[in-house]
Amino acid sequence: MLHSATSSKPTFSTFQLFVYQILNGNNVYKNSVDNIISEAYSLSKGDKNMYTVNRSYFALIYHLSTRFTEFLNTIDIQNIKNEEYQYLYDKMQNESELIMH
Amino acid sequence: MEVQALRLHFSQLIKAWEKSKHNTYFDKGKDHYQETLKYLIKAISDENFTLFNSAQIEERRRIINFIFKSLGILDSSTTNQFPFEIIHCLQHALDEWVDPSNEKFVIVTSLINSYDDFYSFDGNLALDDVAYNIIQKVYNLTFEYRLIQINLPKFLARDYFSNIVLYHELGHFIDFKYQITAPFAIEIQDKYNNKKYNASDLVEFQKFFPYEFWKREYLDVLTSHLREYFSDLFAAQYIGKYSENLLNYVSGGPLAAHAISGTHPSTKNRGDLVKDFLKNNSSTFINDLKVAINLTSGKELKVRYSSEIKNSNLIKLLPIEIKTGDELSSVFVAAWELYDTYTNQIEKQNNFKYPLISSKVYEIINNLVEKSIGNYIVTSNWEKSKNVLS
Repeated sequence: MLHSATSSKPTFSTFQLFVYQILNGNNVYKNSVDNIISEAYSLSKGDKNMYTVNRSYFALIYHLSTRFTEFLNTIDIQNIKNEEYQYLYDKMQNESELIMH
Repeated sequence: MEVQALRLHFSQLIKAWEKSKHNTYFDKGKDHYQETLKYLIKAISDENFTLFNSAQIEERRRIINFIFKSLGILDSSTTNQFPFEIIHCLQHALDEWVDPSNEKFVIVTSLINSYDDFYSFDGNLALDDVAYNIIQKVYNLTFEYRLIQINLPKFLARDYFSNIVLYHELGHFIDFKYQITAPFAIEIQDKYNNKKYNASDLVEFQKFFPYEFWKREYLDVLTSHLREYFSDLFAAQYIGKYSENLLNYVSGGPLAAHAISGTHPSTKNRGDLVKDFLKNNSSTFINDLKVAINLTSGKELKVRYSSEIKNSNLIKLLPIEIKTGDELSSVFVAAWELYDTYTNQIEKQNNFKYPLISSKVYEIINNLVEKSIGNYIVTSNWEKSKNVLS
């Protein structure tokens, strides 16, 4: 808006939905989720920078790279385990609860 | 209960679709989009909702909301309501920033009854990749075109003086699409905190961001302000200083020129930045922003209107002859130049015995702008069809 707010939909809750589906055995979004985690990993490692990571999920990737740095350092990006998706889901769930309250 | 709520939601959609499915549009992008919606609705109607778990119900809820939103804006983009001259100009600008052979976006307008709501951009339909992702994964359906929604007051749908601010709204779309200002805000904070700015840079940044912009708690404000500054400069490429002139008036004039909000910088600073850009004044802020634009979009921030397009035809009550699409936005600049400094040029040129009343001057220039763009559209479509035929 010229002199008011502009809207842009956050993708955080949908990302959580995708991770939730993986945890329920539905792998249809696994590639999408893994690609986002991989981009966050590359950003946190310095292999990519803020201007070269995927543009569509920039906010989410940046958030993961800064808030989940330790987690990203411990996982095998080519082979993410179920308990790691669970950890990510729980942490994001806690964060969204904090935002809601 | 969850399943029944989904059935209710889908039934409401079917009712809305019954009305919208008969819409007719003047371009194939919207027709194609509506056709894809038809397949999507059919695919959902073929499903057995009782078999769904909570996550699958949530997917459908989001998809139905997506369809509702699409219908809402398609309904106000039908042939008889659509301000196609201004949208043609915006589409040309859009094509300069997003290669239409790679990604297809269609600008649609939502006409708002209120004047106060003024103009806004809603990128949810165009940029919400997750919705398209869900639709693709669940139904194997891909939308070839995506809709960019721009909201404008119904009363001003064919006003070419105010509608120039739609270039500012298009700027927001470009910013969100390429994610230009979000990382740039982080870069500014990092550079400040790592003492990368010299003394004159600091003076400049403190002027445009008159708060502790380097602190993490101000990142959202800094990002919001950068979004507005970027969109102002984006618009200035096409329409020069005239968007800022209008902004000064609608935001409360000189009395409110220094007012700043959490989302918007002061109009004074916005005007100053546009002046710096148009006059090519030395500015680390603008130079760094240009680099960020280039890194993310591969495009260049530069003046794109032509000063060769003059308003002499308008004074003679003739449409301006536009030769190429690159000259389209220059017509707005020429019209504003005439209107902004109006001293009865039309009456003098045409030997009128009496001065025109102000509303007549507005009407004449506004109609000539529409005619100028309309003529260009007809001519260029004719040229294209000639090429196809020959």
